Amino acid sequence: MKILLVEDNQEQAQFICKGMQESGHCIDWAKDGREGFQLATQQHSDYQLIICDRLMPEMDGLHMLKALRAINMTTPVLILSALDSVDERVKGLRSGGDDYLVKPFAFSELLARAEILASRFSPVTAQVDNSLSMADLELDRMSRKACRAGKNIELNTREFHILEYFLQNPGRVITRTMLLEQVWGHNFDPQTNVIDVHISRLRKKIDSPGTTPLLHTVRGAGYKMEVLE
Amino acid sequence: MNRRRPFQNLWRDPFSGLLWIYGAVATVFLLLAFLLADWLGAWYIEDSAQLALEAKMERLEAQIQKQAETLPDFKASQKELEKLLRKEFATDEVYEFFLSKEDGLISSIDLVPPEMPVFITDPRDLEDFTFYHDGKEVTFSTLTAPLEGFEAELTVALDPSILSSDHNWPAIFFTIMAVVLLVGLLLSWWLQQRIKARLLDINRTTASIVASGDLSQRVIDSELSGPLAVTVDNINHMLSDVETAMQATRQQANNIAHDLRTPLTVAYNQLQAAAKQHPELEHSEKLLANLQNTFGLLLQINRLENSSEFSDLSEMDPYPCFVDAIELYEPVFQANLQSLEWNLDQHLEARPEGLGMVKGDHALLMQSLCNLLDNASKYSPEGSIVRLHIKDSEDHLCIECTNPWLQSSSSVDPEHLQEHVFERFYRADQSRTEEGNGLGLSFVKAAVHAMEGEVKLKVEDDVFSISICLLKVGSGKQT
Repeated sequence: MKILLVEDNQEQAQFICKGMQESGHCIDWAKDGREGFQLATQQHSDYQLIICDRLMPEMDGLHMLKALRAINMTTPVLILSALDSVDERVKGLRSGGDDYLVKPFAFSELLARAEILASRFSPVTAQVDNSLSMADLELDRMSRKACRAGKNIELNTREFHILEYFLQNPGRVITRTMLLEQVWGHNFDPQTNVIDVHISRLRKKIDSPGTTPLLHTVRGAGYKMEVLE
Repeated sequence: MNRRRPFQNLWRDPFSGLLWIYGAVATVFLLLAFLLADWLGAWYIEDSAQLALEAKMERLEAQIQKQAETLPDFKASQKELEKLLRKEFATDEVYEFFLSKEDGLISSIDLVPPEMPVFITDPRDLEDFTFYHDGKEVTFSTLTAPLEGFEAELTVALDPSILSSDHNWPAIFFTIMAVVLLVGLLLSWWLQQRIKARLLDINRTTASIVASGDLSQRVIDSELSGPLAVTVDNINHMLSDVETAMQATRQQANNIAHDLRTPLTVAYNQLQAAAKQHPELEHSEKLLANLQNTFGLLLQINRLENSSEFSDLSEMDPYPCFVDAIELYEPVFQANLQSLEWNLDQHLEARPEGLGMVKGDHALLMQSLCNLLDNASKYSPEGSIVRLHIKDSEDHLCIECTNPWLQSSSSVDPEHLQEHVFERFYRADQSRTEEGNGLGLSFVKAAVHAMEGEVKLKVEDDVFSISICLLKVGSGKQT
């Protein structure tokens, strides 16, 4: 994935660049909004994701974002900000941002959000599949049924949505905050084990004894669903 | 509890005390006046009658003296004397009697008006004498003086009721006094009410500030002058100073926190990366992550208290949040071998349009409910039942979370908990070994106040209950 990072703090930028490169992504860095705008709009830039800080010298993140949307650029934008009030989040998303991550954040959270955001806008996955599957696990979104190795799995509504979200993002790390946002529609960190309890219940249902585990815990980050070799 | 005797309270409350003492004195005065009115009236009238009698007597003596000087045989003529007295007998008020010294009454018949009965034989023996006329008792005041040269005495008698009928001065005096006292009492009561109202304004405002922590409130100082106005001004001035200082402190804290966010992120990311290579750093990574969470929550509480979280509060239906919170936490209770029960006031269940709208914010309410449920689960023993109940009141819709609380297992007493549980970093577990940062309920309080609602806490021997009360849209209390 090709990413543009617009961040005025050199130390932060270097760390994000290093982390992204280690995760197999290609990343360019712009020191402020003006430079970010130039890089994003130059020919053949073809970025799949823009990560931008909000408060920057010259041109701040929101101005750059508005300018990009004004020329109909649809590249997904993830806003990084120290401003975490509800009003500031709303302002960021209304200016054209697609996701909003508040500092301080864990790099794993940034990576997970970046990958999922880019995939959501990818033309390959943009089409909606009614049937999702991984190994012998299948989920039918129309009939809202799940089964593993042909055996029906009883899921309540939330468990169905959690599983659906995992299957939509196979192999990608999903953090607890992301699950709360996507499945429950609430944007805060409960700072408790409440999501872990739900995952544990789901895991008991889909990874029953004798089957290959599909739902894995990623230490310090969250969970991912994949078939481990 | 205040168990002072009533009179002690009266003594300590100068306004009520003054009014009560004034009222008691006025009542005693009016009672005495009522009881002694007749006696005082009689005394006054008799005193007045005495003066009138003396004046009359003086005048008669002067007339007789004059007649005696001009008529040589006047002293020998009883008829002349009678004639003079008859001439002097001109008013309805005074009756004169001419008496012999030893033989009883010399003459009186002609001097008494025809309608008056004559029965007096020797009124010299009487200071006052009484008779019945037209069925009414009439008491006369009398004055007797010797008539020089006539060897007789003249008695002048007066019906004092004639004086009192037109000029009842004691009655007038008492009436005026009573009116003055009553008006004074009413004025004192009115003044006391005014002073009390101002003091209640001050009390209400300060109590509201203590309860809500909203330092922008001021005591109303309209239509006031004098020392009370100066007091109100001083309190308002002091509140302004405290508010400015608090805002400056919070702003500084926010600025510092914002400036720290980026370096903290860098440090945390680097520690996370290093922990992958060196597992011994995992504990430090976890500590830093907790520190970040605490730091973020503290900032959010600051902003909520500073009213800078929202530009505008919206109207919302609390029911979806209520259901979401239950659905989110039910598995946690099950995992901890506890159960979560919920219900609504009966009339709310029957209401087809739902619970109705309240003033609030979805995210804040959800986060607050999650904190309450998390707390309830954490501090309730295994096998206990935690209850969520939606209550309807005139102005508020309250969500009450009740959980059993084992006082015996805690070193904290209910009163202490009641007083301190909403303080930042307060931990019921004083050893601080339980998980958590002690900010959960501080957040709930700040969030509910930011939504212009109220938090109610009830701690009893074995039950801990917190209610989040949100203002109903269209209620009287809505600003």
